[in-house]
Amino acid sequence: MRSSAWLRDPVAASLALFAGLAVAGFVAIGLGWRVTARTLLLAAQVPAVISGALGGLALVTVGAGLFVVQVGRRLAAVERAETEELLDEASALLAAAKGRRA
Amino acid sequence: MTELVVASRPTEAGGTGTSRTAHARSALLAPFTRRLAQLGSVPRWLTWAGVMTSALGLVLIAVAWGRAAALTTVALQVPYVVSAGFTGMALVIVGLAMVSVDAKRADTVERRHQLRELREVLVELRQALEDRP
Repeated sequence: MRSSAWLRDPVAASLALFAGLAVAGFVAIGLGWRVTARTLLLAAQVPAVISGALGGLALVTVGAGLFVVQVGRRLAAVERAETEELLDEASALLAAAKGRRA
Repeated sequence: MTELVVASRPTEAGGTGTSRTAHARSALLAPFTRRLAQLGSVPRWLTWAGVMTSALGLVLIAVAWGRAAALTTVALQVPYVVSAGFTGMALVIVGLAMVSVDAKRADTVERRHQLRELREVLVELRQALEDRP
């Protein structure tokens, strides 16, 4: 029940995308390791380090960073909605107080 | 220095200055301890998972260092740097992200609780106003 509600969340797709970026980063690091472990030629290893390892690390950083930002935005949106309800209630209270005075 | 002077002087209530200072200090810390207690009620498994992930990353970096230090050929060192070093770094980043997300979540839970309480107070106040003849 709870998981289906989570899936309906509009943020879920972007969160899955960012988590996928981080996972892709780990895969890229693994590919970089495979290429570097296959050869003893340093000149052939360096491109694999740059494209696989550094690129993978960059993907993990970007994915994790965007994930954190998106979660923060989602939590802030929930808070804003509750603050809006609070303001509605305060307005109703003010209206009630004014109605009593009149 | 001021605290020492206060501590040596007896209070009007008969207590010592030391107990008064301690009381004032505990009163000062009360909001923080209350906040900590509230934070403690929030499940924090994600924080622990993040810390463990970061620790695993640091261990992997240490393993990479150990293996690379044992070799003198750069071409043999590079695979360890890539597999353990970069993976360790990535795990540290992911672990920190998990801790950050959990901290934000815990803060939001607390703030939502406060907002809900405030709203309930407003509802009660409005009902009291409307019910008053």
